Amino acid sequence: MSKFILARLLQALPVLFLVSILTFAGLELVPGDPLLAVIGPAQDGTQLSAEDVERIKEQFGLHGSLPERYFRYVEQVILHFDFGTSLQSQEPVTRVIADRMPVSLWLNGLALGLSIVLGLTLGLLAGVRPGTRGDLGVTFLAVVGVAAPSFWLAIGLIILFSVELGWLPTSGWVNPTSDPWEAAKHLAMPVFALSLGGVAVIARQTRSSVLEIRRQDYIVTARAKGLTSSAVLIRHVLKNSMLPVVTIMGLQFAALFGGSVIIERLFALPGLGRLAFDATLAHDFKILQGIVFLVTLVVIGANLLTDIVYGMLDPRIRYQ
Amino acid sequence: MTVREQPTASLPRFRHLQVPTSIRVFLHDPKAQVATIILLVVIFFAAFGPAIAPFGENEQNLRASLEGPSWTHLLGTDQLGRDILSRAMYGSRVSVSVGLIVVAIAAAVALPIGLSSGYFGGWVDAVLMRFVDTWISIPPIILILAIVAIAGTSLGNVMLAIGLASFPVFSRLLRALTLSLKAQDFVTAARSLGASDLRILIRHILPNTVQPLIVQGTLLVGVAVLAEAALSFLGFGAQPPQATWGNMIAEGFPVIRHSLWPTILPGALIMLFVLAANFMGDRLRDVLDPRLRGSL
Amino acid sequence: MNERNYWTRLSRRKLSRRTLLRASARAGVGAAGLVLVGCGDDDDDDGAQPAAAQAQQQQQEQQAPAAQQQTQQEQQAEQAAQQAEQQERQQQAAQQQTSQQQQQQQQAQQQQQQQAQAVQAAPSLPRGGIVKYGAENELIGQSGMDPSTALTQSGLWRAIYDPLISTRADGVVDLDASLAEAFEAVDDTTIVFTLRDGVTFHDGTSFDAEAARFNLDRAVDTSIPAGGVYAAAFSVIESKDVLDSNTLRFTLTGPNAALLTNLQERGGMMVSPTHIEATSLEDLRVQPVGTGPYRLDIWENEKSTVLVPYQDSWQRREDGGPYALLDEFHYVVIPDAVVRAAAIESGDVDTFVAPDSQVGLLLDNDDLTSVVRKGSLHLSWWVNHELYPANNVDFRRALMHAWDKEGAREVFYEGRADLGTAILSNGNWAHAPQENFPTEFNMDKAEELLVQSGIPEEDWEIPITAAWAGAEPMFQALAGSWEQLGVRVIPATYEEVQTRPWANRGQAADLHIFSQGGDRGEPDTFLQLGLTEKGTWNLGGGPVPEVEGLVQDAVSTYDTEERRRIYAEIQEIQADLLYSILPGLYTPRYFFSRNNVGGAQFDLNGFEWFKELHRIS
Repeated sequence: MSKFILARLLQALPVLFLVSILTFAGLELVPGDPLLAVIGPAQDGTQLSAEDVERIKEQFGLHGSLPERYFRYVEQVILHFDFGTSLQSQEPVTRVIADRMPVSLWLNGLALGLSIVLGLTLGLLAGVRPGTRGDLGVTFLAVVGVAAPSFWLAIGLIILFSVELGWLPTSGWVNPTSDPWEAAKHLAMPVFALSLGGVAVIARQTRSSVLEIRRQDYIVTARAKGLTSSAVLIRHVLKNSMLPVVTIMGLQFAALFGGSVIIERLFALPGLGRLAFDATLAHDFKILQGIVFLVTLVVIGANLLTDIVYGMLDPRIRYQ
Repeated sequence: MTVREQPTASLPRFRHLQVPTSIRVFLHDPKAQVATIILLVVIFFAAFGPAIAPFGENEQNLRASLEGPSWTHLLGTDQLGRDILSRAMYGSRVSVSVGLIVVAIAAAVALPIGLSSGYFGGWVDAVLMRFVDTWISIPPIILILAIVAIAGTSLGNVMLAIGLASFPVFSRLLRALTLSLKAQDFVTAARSLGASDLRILIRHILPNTVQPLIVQGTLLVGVAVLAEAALSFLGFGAQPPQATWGNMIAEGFPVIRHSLWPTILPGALIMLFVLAANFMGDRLRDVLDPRLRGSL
Repeated sequence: MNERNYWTRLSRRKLSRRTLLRASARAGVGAAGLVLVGCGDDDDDDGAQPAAAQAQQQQQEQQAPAAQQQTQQEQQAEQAAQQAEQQERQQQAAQQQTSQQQQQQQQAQQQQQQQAQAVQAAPSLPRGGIVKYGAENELIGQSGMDPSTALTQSGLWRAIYDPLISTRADGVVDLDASLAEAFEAVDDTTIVFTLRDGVTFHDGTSFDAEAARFNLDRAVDTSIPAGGVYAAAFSVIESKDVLDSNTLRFTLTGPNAALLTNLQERGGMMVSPTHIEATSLEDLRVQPVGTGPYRLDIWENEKSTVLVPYQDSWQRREDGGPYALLDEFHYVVIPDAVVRAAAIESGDVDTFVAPDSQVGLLLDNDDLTSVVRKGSLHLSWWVNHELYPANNVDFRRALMHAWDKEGAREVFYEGRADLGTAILSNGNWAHAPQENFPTEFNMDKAEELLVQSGIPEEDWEIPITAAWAGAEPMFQALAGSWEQLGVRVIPATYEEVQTRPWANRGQAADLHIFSQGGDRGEPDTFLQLGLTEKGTWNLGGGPVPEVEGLVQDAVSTYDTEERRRIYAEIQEIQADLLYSILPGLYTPRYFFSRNNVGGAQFDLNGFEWFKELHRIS
């Protein structure tokens, strides 16, 4: 098992290398004009000379040949974990992102957890008794959950639970480690709104893999052996249906990070999604570069974990 | 490393069907019927919207702001007194084209990657798939935001960004298909006849990937329309006053507590359209993959 | 190093505009519009009534907000005799109106009299409790609170800092809230400030004339990266001399009636010099140390901003306690307008300035009370009057007549705005409504003017953009009515606004910006921006021959009546020629509080005044 984990970790290295290339290339791709639009020209209308442009480039680490720039970038990022400074606030990018990361991790982690629990439960219920009303309900929910715009749901929740009922605060961030109860109240709506898509995807996937597994010969055999349906369900169906679901979860984590852009804005949560939104508006490429790099690392980490879980569930994977 | 390809053995086997049969089979399912109706209506709007819309796209009447449904304005008016139904019709053109163009972009990027990865294998496969793995790890919306930040805010760039963010799914599918196809007899036969790699890829493998691509593409249409709406809501999509469903929701949102009408129709249309695309994709898969036919 | 700083500074400046655009783009409506228009480094729309010259006069004319009014009444009772005498003298002086010199003398007398007054202890109000304010943007993290580099201001500034000279919401110089307890205009170009004794900064160090000079020097210091924001506004101050520890003398390059009101902005706010010297620039942005009634206790970017009372504040209440009434003041960021309104309705926040789109809804809520500031903003259209076809005055006039302002007023403000009748808004003391101003929505007249302009129909075309997202619906409304007129509207994106050359002064600009801007208080600021060759809102950067000289004349005299007359003349000319800025609506701002919170009001510049906030049990 440890050999398997090690192998997986080693496989992550080239991906890391590629992330560095991609994020580096992203900034390189910024056409000259928009970059200059961000950092110049002067308000009084003086035009930048070629020399000035060079100086600005140097200031933002854009000087030298392409490989030079790349190695400088990698050196800074890998050795010093330094993504430069925000074009806008001049703060170190690493610090800006580190400030927001816990918010995003809590929000997305909880949302992922909720989607897994709800998604699996609903999917199993639907898959075990296909064609029943419960199944239809779940299918409907899955369809709506995937198709409904999340801001729609979010504002409905706020008006119902905050304004009309007064049960939950509209918005804001409370750190769960400092005040779990308050944090739970503040996070309830955003987590729910964010997880709905995930619930839908996972429920759907679970349902169809349960359906598929139930047709498999070994289930038929198990039943024929006289095992009770709950035993079959737990020992065979559940375990084997998990495989594709675990795959989906890995993907879902990346999707959640994306979905949180709108949710964080609406619920006033100072996470990475809102930061990405702000940075896009401000054309703060340095921040965006940092976010893409770090979030991708987190997602890759989550996927590694998924792989390992996968490996534990399905021994065949380990020896492939 | 992120998502495991399904083992080749479980790949759906696609087969060519007689057209009339396939349509009949396809429409056998009630979900497919619903999806077909929705899609036909939206496509009809997109095609003939300007001709049949009771009002112009930006024809406003400030004296008729935020009205409820009436005989003049069947689904009410927005803040500027524009006819919501008419704008939704114009907006359907954008959504339909977003869906199609995004799929085209994603497929165009994915084709060379997926085909060569599956066909050549070895280090080509390793490099390309690592690249795809990495790309897929970047959360789509954040990737799209980054692309929009670099390329600028416009509907075209948004479509490009969504397309680029969604090509990996295609690449993986194409790779898996190519892997299984290249082991089949007709490819081996073609190779033994001295056909070049390019010719084999284009003449023999590519045509056989079309059906699964259509299935995947149909599903992507829904994703693309949702993404466009989200970006418009954030202000990065098509620029107002162009009527798109996303823009309509974004414009209606600040007055959502005065009137629900400006947001309800575009919201519902997005939902229905995405739903229809998903039903359609599912059903196509069922029909084109006979193994599962009738079981869902 | 200097070179490098220069570029950093440039970059910061340009970014600043983006920051502003961004800040405003994120929002709904309201406060963002204020900051947006200040594309220049200096402030956009602030300013005060010509402070010194008419201070006393106005004290009697104008209405002050509740809490201040109370103070004022007491003052007046106390000095009834003094004032009667004074008024008599003033009237005599006014009748004579002979020379500026006389005005100056009068001013000096006034000041001496004001100097004689003791500081009034503010009336006691209930103490204790927490008040949460709902804001659209993170203020400290984004713009910072270092007066030398900050590009926007908000209510937080006056809670933490005090300026040398404070001006009340009604435009009257308020020495009770100023760090200068008196000032005297010795002649046209010399002003002597007498500073208050016993004022300490939040770090315990004392405020004196050296500290004041240090801060004012810093406000114009362009060698600070991204600094020197006030270099232009304070360029009129030729020298600042410390006469003794509480006396500071300004020598001006020429008479400038706008200086005192400019001094009460952030450029004139006092930071502890000890703190400045010991702190990095980056930290200074987020660690404000002033003399104000509140000090910053907790700040986490985007997460929390908490102010607590400064126990040793120099301003005191009648009960002898510190000026600040609340135990804690929270500045809570909620970006979305709909959610922010929901937050005050549900009680998550106690007070906020409402986005325009939510005002109607909140006015119906019995749990809330509001303070309104009429004519707080101009909803205006900036035109490049250098560029064909908009260089034709009939064309511009036609566009104005085709703009359905009354419709827009109903749709966006539910009737709560006023129709524009002159370039200075009706919130400004120099506002002079013009008959000839194209206020009326009249399509026939517009068509007639288009024909009269002689511009061939194929050229009826204009590029236009809303400069911030909140103005988007209004922009569309405008575009819609112009299209009905037969004028093609070419929408431009924010990107184009940002990268096209319009921001480069002196170049022909091809964009026409639709946005909000204010001219509350000081007329000079607004007119300098729009109606002079170097003004940032003069998009084409071309000459404005008929009015430019008048704008300079107006600011060079301390005679209020003379200024009023010149401004009226400018407004008359502008009504005919329609240069640069075309006001459509004068729009109000609403400051809502839940019923158990009192003291919400606006300051002169339309910023939130937090100093009187208190809990009503």
